[in-house]
Amino acid sequence: MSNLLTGDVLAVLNSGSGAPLFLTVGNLFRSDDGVGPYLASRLVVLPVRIVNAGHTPENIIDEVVGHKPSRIIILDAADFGGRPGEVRVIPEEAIPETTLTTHRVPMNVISRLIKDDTGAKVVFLGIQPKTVSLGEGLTPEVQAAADEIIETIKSSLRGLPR
Amino acid sequence: MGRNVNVNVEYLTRVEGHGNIVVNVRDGVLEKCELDVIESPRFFEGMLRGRSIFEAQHITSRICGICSCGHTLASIQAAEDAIGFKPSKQTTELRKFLLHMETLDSHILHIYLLVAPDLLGVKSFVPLISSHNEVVRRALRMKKWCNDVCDILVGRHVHPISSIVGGFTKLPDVKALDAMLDILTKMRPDMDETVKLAASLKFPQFERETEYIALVNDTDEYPFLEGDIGSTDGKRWKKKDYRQVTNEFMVEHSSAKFCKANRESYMVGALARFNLNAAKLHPKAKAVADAIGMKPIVKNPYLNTAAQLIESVHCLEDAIRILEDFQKKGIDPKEAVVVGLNENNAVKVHAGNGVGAVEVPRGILFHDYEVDAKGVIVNANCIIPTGQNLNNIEYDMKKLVPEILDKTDEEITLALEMLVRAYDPCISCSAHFLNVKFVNR
Repeated sequence: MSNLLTGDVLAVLNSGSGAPLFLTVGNLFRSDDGVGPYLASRLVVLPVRIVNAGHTPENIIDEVVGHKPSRIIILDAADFGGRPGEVRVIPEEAIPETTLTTHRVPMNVISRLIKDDTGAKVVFLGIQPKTVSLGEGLTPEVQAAADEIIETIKSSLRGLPR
Repeated sequence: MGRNVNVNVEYLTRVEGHGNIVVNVRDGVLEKCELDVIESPRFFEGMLRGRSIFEAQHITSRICGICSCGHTLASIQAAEDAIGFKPSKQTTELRKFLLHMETLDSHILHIYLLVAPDLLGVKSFVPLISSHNEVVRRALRMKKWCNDVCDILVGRHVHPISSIVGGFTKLPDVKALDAMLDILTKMRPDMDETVKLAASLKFPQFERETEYIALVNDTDEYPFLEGDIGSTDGKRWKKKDYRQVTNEFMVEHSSAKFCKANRESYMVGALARFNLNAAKLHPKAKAVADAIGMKPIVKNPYLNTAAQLIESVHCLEDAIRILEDFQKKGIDPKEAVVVGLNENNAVKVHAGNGVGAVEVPRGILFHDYEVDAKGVIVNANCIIPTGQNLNNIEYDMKKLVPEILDKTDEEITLALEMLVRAYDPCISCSAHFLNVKFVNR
């Protein structure tokens, strides 16, 4: 059983309704905002479909649509006022319509367009950052959360819920 | 008794700058009208000290995610100016092309994401997915194409890798030229639709006399990369004298410095460039200007967006011209440079001072470096366009508010927000995310 992830987050990661496509978002040079790309770098060796959007998620819509996914899990740093490393399922309506980082097209716009084109179910998993200031590497709290997410996905692939 | 209005718009932004609009009208008299910038200093100039000019552009490109090519090119230009390096014609043309892609990308985003929702009567870009689905897809398609071209030319969608002091580490081959030209040719119908959409938008009526400052030159080229600093007041300065233009000063309510030249304030950006250089636009861009009735000198700051539309057409067409020229005459692959940190003295270096003055989407950008004999930066100064526009925005607000006191609170707030957004400031990520408080009503 995961120590850090709550039941609803585990339910998303363990859900057996079709292999999900993982869409990761974030900037590696913004400390914990790099958690998405970090997850991508670890997930890429697993038998899962993954698209790392980095800091230009608006540019990967066609690539994601090309995978014809039925379920998409978006992994991104999200400031929801939680404790650093906390992971939450973020309702789509809670995602601000403004850019989350400079000049970024809002994620709900991207999500909506992908859903329109694929009919996929999209779930946002937000990881609370400790800091998104300039710098490389994750803080220990966010690193721990990311590692838990990876272990959960690995277990899910083996058919073993965590 | 006149009207009391107290507008407190918090905040204008989140990441690249935090700003508030504060307006206080008592008994019909404007007592306070400020654009408060409360962002923290980012210390990029400090970061540059002690770093080689051969890595400076990778650092400064991170100042802005949308103007990363512009900062890269201003940085390179300042460094090359300091060491007396003259780039080749091929390098210069490719740099102009790169700048066109960034300007086009930025203008398209501003027109579609930040301005169009106001003028189409929706609260943000998101409702446009339902009401104007093809508009949303066109905007994102055009943006992606610009980024794809940057990826081909400089190795990344944003934050270029291959553009360095001395030239380019990798030059496009025939296949790459064809791929970029194919993308830009495909973009033409979308640009036609963009012109139709933007031409149908109704901009608010407002005018204020001010000074417009942008690069100027003595050629027939609409200048983005090279030139002197020019003013609609008839002044002209060499780029090394940029401090005589910017005259930075502090105000109590802003952590960003304000600027002024010959008047109390000045404007930079697409409208300033248009007002100074409209005669040099590509014929297709001139036709758009004529069609929408834009003729210098345009004094309505809301029409900065219209100038961006005109420049978008210019950038697309001039970018295609540059590629077609390269297709005809070829690219000399021998000009590719491998410099690293110049460990092998591939580029001759000496101590000196240099200034880069580059027109980026929001206006003229200055980088000023003092370099030692090894090419290490001793001192750096960067003045971004938004910083130069803040003072002008404030003077616009001071003229605008008394003219619209008969409007409702919501209308006044919207007019002010739209005014700030028209400048496309880097603090405008926030465009539709403003908390507004009125008191004394």
